[in-house]
Amino acid sequence: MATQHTRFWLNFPPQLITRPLLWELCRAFPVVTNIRQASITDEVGIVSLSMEGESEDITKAVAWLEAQGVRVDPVEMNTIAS
Amino acid sequence: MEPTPFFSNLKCRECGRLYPKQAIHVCDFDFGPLEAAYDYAAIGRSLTKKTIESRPHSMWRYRELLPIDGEPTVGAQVGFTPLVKADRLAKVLGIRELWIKNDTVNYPTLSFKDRVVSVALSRARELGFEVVACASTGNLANSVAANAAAAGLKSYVLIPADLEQGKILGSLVYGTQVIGINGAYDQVNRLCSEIAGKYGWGFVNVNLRPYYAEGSKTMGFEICEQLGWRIPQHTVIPMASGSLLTKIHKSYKEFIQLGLVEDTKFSVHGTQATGCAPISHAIKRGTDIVKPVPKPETIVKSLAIGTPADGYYAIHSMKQTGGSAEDVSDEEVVEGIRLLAEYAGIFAETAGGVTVAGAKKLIASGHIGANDSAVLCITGHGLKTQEAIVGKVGAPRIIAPNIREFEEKIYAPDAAAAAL
Repeated sequence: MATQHTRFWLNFPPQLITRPLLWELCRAFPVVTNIRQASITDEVGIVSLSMEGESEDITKAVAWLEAQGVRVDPVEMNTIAS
Repeated sequence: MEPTPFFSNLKCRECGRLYPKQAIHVCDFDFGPLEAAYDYAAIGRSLTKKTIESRPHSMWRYRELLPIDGEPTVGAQVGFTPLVKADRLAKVLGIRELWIKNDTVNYPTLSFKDRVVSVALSRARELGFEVVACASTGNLANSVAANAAAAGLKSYVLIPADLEQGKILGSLVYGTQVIGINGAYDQVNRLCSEIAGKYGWGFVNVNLRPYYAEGSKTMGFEICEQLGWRIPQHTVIPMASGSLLTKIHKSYKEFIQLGLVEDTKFSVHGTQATGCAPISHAIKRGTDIVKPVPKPETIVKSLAIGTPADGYYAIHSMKQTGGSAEDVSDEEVVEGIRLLAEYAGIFAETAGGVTVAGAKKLIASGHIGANDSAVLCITGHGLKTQEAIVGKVGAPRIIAPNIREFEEKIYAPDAAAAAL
């Protein structure tokens, strides 16, 4: 299987900001993550993240993040325009 | 083809790193969006009011400020739409002077999207793309289909499968490949972003986005020129991703930098539908953090972007210029469409209703002064969203084909009403 390199924007709701979710993610799935930019306030945490791994593992990792309550968008978010 | 001496690089809006002028859209370092950068000193030596005025009436009269290398090859007739002085509407909205920038009559598909698409497809040709594509819910799809057909480019239009029939037909008729995708909005977005990177297509709103977005500036350039080379005090702009607002702001700054207009005070204001108003709500909360709207609920489909890519930048444009934002209910949208039609003779799509109704609120609240002058940007034709006003603008009065019935049922009651 080919290794894939995918870029995401993660949006953490306030109640998840203090949880080490990316550490948990890397322990649960064989993916390599790299934070490129982050902004954290009382209201929200926004992280730009690159993720490297097998396509299937990335899909599972994203689904897991979403199940925890993190919004995950590809960096090309808003691909659909009017 | 000789590269233009004016359009120099792509540049990250976050960190300022420079990139070559390729089909890329995100900074490798921090994932910030890329946008076109120019050599303004060189442009200043070449571009004068006289030069611009001597050129054909299209958006390409400002071509030094657009990101292509050679002459435009797609959409040569796009732009230079009317700027209409709307005195009767001004009275109703309670403002001294009002202008309508009327992109409902933009060529060829009756929306401002023809501006961005003609830049994107001209650049796509320069970069050697043979297939172009977009993901769209309406106006963009129509424009890519039409302009690609005229240019002889193969095109794919990706749409949510449950889109209204009228919008599907408005793309199919041009012979484009229309692909309906089953799934929620987010899933469709994700698939499109994967497709965009995989097959070497020129995806106008993904890998060609830095070029595409710049086309919106021409709306601002035209407003300034049509006002007699000055920037309007207030500009009211509908917001979906927020890109149009940031680009109109950029166009005013560029004209000031080049000395084509005086550096007068101006404000840009944004409007959204309340059912999907992440940018307006952020402004009202006094923050630049845009909270995504997971399920937009509004008749204004063309502005229903829950995660606006340029929201942060739009907020900063409004803050920098002393502008503000407003959002309006679906009922107010319909009222806005009616006001624009009844008092200015312009039939706009739902986004136009958002702009008019939003402007009305901004004037009433004093964010736009009653003694000031404002331009409303109307971005698409009402024929595209007729279903939004069916049953809400009255019905014809039916009579038998004889003069007596006309007099009894029409003329006499109307004359009596007029006499009141």
